[in-house]
Amino acid sequence: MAVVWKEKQLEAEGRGKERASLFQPPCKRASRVNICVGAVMLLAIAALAVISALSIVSPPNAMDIRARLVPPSKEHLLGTDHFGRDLFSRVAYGGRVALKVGLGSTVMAALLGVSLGGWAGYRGGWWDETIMRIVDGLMAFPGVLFAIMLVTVLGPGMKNTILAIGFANLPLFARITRASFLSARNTLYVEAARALGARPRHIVWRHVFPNSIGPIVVQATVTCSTAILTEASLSYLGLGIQPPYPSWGRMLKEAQPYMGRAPWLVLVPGLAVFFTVIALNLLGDGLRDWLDPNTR
Amino acid sequence: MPWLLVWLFVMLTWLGLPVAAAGPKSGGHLVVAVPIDPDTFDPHKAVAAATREIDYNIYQGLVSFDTEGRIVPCLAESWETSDDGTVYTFTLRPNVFFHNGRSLSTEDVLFSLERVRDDATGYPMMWPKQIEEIVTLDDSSIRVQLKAPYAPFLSELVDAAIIPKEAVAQLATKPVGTGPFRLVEWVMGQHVKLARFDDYWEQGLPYVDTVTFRIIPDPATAILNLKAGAVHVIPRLSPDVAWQVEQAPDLKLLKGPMNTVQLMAYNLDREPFSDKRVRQAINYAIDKDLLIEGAAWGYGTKIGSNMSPVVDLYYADLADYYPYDTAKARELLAAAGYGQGVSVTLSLPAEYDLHVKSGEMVAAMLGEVGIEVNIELVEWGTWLDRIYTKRDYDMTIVGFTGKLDPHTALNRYTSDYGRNFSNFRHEEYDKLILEGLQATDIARRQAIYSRCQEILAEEAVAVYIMDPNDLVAMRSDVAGWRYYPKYVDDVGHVYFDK
Amino acid sequence: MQYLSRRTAALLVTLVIACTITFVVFHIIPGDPALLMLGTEADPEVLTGLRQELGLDLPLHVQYLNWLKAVLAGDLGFSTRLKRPVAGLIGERLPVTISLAVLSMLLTLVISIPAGAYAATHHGQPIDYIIVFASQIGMAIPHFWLGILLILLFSMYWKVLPPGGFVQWSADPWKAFLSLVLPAFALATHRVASLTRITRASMLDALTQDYIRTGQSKGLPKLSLIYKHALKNSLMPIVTVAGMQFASLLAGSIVAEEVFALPGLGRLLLQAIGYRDLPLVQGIALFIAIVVVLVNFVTDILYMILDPRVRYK
Repeated sequence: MAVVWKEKQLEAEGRGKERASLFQPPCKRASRVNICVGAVMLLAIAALAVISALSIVSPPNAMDIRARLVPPSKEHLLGTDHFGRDLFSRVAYGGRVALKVGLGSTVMAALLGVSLGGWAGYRGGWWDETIMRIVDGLMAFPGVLFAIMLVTVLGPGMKNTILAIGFANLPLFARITRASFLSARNTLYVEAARALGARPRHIVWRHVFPNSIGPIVVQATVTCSTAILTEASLSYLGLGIQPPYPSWGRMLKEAQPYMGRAPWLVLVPGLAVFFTVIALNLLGDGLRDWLDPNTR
Repeated sequence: MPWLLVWLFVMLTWLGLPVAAAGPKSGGHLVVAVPIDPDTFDPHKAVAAATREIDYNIYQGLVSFDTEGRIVPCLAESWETSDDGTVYTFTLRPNVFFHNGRSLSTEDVLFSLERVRDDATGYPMMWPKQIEEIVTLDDSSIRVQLKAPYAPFLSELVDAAIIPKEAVAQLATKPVGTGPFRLVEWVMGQHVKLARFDDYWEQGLPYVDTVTFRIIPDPATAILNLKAGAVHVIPRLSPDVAWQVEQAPDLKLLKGPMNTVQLMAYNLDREPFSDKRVRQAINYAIDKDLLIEGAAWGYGTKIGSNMSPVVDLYYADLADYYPYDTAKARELLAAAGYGQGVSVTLSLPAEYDLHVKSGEMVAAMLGEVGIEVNIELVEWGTWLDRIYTKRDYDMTIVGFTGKLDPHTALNRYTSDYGRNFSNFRHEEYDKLILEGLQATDIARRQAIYSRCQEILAEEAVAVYIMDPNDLVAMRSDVAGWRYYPKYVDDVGHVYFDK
Repeated sequence: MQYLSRRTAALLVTLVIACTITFVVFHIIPGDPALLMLGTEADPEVLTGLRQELGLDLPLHVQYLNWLKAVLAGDLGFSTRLKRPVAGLIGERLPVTISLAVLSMLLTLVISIPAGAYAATHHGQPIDYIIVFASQIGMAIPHFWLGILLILLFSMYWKVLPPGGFVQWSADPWKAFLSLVLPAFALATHRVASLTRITRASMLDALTQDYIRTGQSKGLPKLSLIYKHALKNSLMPIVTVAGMQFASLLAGSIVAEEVFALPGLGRLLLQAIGYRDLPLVQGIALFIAIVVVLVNFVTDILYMILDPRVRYK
């Protein structure tokens, strides 16, 4: 049932066509700018995450009950939370958590999805039918819902969150890989290779697979941003990352009772999610245009 | 004529004014915010505290409890106990009506108690197993024979609601009881609406015409509704949002004990908690005052054993048995062979914000003395199953609520008790609990139970943290709120004082 | 017709697979529902009896077949905590979630189609950049964070809209509407952004088609060209995406209902998770999946009606 993923497909196609970038019209130069801006933003977040691991900032879980809900100041750049923990170091550490979950689940989704989709496209017939039916069944569950279901089953925590989000995002990778395998099967050079007597495995690795890498990479950036949003949602619902480790979503949940007198507590973590997601989206859009042969 | 007027005036002032000034006024529509729906209105099947807090106003038992936790007559006007403590004879109160209009009879009492006792009902408590037989003597008296003396019998009986036989099929959604209010409507996730029961037996009660329990899961939302006047009372307010009530001029905050024992329990069958020195070290390493300040914004009473100060007849003050002393904690840990540190897991029930916050602070405090604590959040269902029943855990934080009798509060630590999830085994303790069950003399019981509390503290069976304050936020024109040592919202005595 | 029957067959297969996935996922959940029903002081004997009653002692495949049979008959099981049928509970909560979904869908359509069309017709002009930039931002804002900020501004600072909670439609329609405004807005943002981009893209596509160029060269009025022809022709992807978005709103509202304390399906699900109310969680998850599959099916049929070419593919 190709319909379920049509939204995503259309969205992807649509985005490819409209090239909603910061800079118009779409051209290699604009896409490169997008890539650069996205990459720089991501690097900044990564740098923050690295800083949080060094001892130059206070540890993210160090409490000081006497200094709680302190507004931003010289001592506490972004203020403190209800336990008197430094918000800056928590947000920085939260970046580490977000990147870990984002990358981890994307890698997992890509590995599983590409192998499933590749296998379906490569073997065809009965295999293809079965695998794709299951993938369709999986796609009946909206991403957040499926992640919630899995986390409920597996229990919360970093590892399970990665697993759940990775699993929920696998179907798109399977679809994309299968599609590009199918179209590659009938291309001239594959037929030529086959005629020359190359082994099937050789053909897949040398000719079919490299052709599908582009869309997979683009999908990976999109998935990474979705994964970070999903992680924030899960943690906000209390189903994701465990305390005391700071996750942006959980920080938002914890801050809610105090938001009237400590608005910085709800502003900062949300901005962090927003900033990361926009960076990944820019990167994804840029990559798509850059890899698109129609773009000049 | 003028004299007559003066006389009339004097009489009126004398008769009327005091009544108007001191007595509660009737009428009005009360809105109470509660975080969660009841599970079922069948009182013999309900497990959730969220149900009990509401259906206290709908159902009643033979006996009830007052604000001090003493057992008082309710549907039974009086009762007698045999000298050996095995036979209870109750005399029913006359002229009591059910919400369906029928009057209460001994048949209903017999039916209800038999239903509680029947395994098929699924009554969540074990005490009905103590009953040998129930016999109606005449139109107004009924006799309950126990298998053996069981001192907490009456305080357990308060939860055994008396229901009319004809209503039993639909009880889950259409409750019929004898209480001051009857159910009008229950819209899941939105509200439970009660209206005054005109034929209620207690004279003058209840005061308000209707009570709506609005389901508002988020305390911050509840507060905003309270400020807007859409809600009049928020019982059991989260201390996180108490500051908002304190700052608002037309709201007031009531503070009372909750009769809950918040404790950090550990699994005594596991390393390193099998070593008493480690348990004591953990007790020394935790600064309870700071914890109460940090996790509960100071709204809590420090405790030292498994009993709340509310039960003042039996309470032994052991709150400072282990003063905060990190040096001593390190010393004890080193003596036990954990000088290099040790790593443990602290499982916390995710739905209970207070326990989670306390756990985060405990983790930080134990880190100071070299105990590395990994926090694990578990859903309440998992907590009940894995931790409470299967005892698969290192440490956990939980609250034990509302016990009226010291036996029910302390019995959980006896070796063969099914829910002794600490795995505490202590010969003297077991013997004392058994003795307490048979003792009818109060002084004797006091001695027994205070020794029990001492043993728990001495053995450092758990870290007994606090009895959290029961905060009730209300509009300043609401009066008559009563605190009980049980988890109930008594709206029958509430009135508007304008 | 052949297309229709093929689609129907695929629909049934997907439904059965979705059911199977639900069952597989939920039968590895740890936690004993029987124990949960009885609480902290449960008697072991009563417990065993209850397990038998619930069929928890049967082998897995028997449990699966029994369950599937019941689901096919429309019986989603019995909530262990609330002791009532799951289907009934879902029915009670559905109006809130559906109202929220419809409202935010309307919001999405009303904002994004004009915005997308406007951007496309002003391609390359500053307003186009602004719309594209705004949609880029809308795509990245986490909706629950937006929800919190909206509560902070509209309920705490300005006190113009309710902070959360829901008033029944039957009790006071205006208040009910007001309590849905903020959540609908928060939920719509992401969808507005993505539908704007899609509308803009397909409009751009349509505007470069030959017939528009021909029309222009013939001197037909520009506005009529845009709205009669270009928009109509770009409608298909918009309809499809809107259909998908409506289905995904059901899942999206899980978080929004938590933020705004709305008593809908999402809150019911989260509560059920907290109490390990296995049949209820399972029932809601399956229900949402079925709705998603059905909505997709309907969108497909719509697609077929709008574009006859599909039929012959």
